[in-house]
Amino acid sequence: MDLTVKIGSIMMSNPVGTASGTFGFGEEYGELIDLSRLGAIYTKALTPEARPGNAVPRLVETPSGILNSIGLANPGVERFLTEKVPFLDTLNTTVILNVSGSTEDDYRTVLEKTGNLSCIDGYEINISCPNVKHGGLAFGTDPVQVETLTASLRKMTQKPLIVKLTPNVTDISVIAKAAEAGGADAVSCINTVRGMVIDTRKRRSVIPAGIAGLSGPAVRPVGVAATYTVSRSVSIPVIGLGGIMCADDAIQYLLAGASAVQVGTGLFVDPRLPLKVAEGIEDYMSENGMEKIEDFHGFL
Amino acid sequence: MQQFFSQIQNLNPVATGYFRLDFHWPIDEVPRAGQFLTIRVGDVSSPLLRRPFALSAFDSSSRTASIIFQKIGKATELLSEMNPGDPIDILGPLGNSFSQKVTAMDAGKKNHIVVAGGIGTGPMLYLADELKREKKDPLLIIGCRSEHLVPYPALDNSIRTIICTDDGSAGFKGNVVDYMKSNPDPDSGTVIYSCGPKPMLMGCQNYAEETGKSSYVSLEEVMACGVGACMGCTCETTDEKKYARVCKDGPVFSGGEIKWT
Ligand SMILES: Cc1cc2nc3c(=O)[nH]c(=O)nc-3n(C[C@H](O)[C@H](O)[C@H](O)COP(=O)(O)OP(=O)(O)OC[C@H]3O[C@@H](n4cnc5c(N)ncnc54)[C@H](O)[C@@H]3O)c2cc1C
Ligand SMILES: Cc1cc2nc3c(=O)[nH]c(=O)nc-3n(C[C@H](O)[C@H](O)[C@H](O)COP(=O)(O)O)c2cc1C
Ligand code: FES
Repeated sequence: MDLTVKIGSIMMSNPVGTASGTFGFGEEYGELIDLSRLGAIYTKALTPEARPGNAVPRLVETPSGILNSIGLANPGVERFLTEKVPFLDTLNTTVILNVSGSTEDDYRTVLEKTGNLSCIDGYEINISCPNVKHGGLAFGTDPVQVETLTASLRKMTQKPLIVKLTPNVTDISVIAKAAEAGGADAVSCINTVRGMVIDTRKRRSVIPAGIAGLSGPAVRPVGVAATYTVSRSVSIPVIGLGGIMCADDAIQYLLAGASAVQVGTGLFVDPRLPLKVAEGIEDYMSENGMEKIEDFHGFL
Repeated sequence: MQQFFSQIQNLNPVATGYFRLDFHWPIDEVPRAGQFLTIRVGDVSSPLLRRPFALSAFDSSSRTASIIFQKIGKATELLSEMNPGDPIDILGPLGNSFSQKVTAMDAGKKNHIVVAGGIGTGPMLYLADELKREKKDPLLIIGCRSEHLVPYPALDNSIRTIICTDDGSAGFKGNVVDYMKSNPDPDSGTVIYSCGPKPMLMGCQNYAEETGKSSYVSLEEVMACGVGACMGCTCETTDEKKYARVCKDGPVFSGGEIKWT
């Protein structure tokens, strides 16, 4: 049986990775799980400048989900190079750097400054964060901007470019096609879904920034549908995520057309979840006589 | 830090709506006062997130750890309905401890005041116990709204303890800062440790500043990962980085590190 997955030029040892923003830069969970067993680590978003992030509270639990407004808090590319890279260099796992920005130049700066790092195997271009005022989601909802940005970054790197899509659009396949036209090697879907929780006693949003991003089991059907739609409209691999809490959830994504998956919010509930999901996928494959991940495709 | 399953040994009410949960501690790492753990309550997606609780006691001979929790919402209600023998899924010990944070100079000082308010009581009982074992004779000041909220069964008679109640139904009438102000401690070398609602922590910090004492606080913030990965639990600090993670850089901070307003 073969669990490997090819995204662009890289080979992941199995399809299960950790979703951006839920796993830091890998170090924090290193004490709890064997990182070398992960298919890939998708890092926290990196921007050229350090970002403190949004005001607290940044999190609130919702029915079967969480709403977050972290605001891309990250150390910035310079501190990333000195504080995070030495650890990433020690890993024997695929590392995909999640890149974010307010302008095209922001994305280009991060790629420029990290282009030579051997610990970075590829990039996930985050054009879909609902929690920043400029750039972020604005990029991800306009197909022309998506194609232009992807094409511009494509010229800068041989490493795989994965464009991360937002579900907060009328037709996600239009954006996916734009990313493909720009030269993306893969797309991941989905980022968080816009949501809001109001404190009725204080009569204001629980999260100071107002609208925030919903994740967790509550969004899984949205992610599966997006994966199903997108995988039918592009010929590059689709990475599915949103609310994966067990192997069966991940299998739904694979059957919907995903070539790989990511576990995000589920990590907060059980840090061992990505490893359990990978094992569960393997069991399902052996029970169903599947040899490789592509064997999941074509049923629907 | 490890994720492990343990078994509930005892679960008893200690005040109205407050419970003490004792459980077996199977791992080698000894949790220190100020550290916390997260518990996954149930195997369902609602409540979804693990919930953080501070260690309130640790008995190294029997390897029993304890938390004191207040029944406040879904997760704590489910927790309060569990029984001895039930398994619990624990991640811990997490965060820093008072002993890690307090400077050697402050640790060597003579007078130590440990201030607890509401659900901040747990870690402060453990801290008072740690200081007692180090022969530091701490003064524990506990603030509650009313007498029925005082966790009497969890208190240690050998520790000097002052109870303050807002309504005067037990001990000193007024809050913990009122108590400290009306019973001034003349030693500017005194160290004040506090955990409780933010206004109380701010009051303790201001009082310490006004009287030239050292102050350490244990903070609370809504948490998702509990291990420093998600940046969800930050607090604003006075240094150039501006935000610190309560779960990883804290929960214990020196009062001066925190931007209070
Ligand atoms: C470091 C730390 C130590 C704590 N120690 C204790 C303790 O020793 N004893 C105790 O009784 N309580 C403690 N708490 C608070 C405790 O975690 C909350 O009371 C508990 O999460 C409430 O869950 P619930 O489902 O019952 O309530 P809910 O109805 O979900 O929420 C009630 C309130 O609890 C808080 N809360 C909810 N979810 C979380 C979360 N994931 N993380 C943090 N806070 C949350 C929020 O302020 C919310 O408004 C601690 C919190 C932190 C951060
Ligand atoms: C706390 C938190 C922080 C996140 N930060 C990022 C981020 O920096 N970049 C990004 O592309 N996605 C980010 N996301 C979105 C996740 O990567 C993922 O797309 C989303 O949460 C859905 O998956 P899940 O339900 O498994 O969490 C974040 C999600 C959460 C919960
Ligand atoms: S709870 Fe995730 S960083 Fe603190």
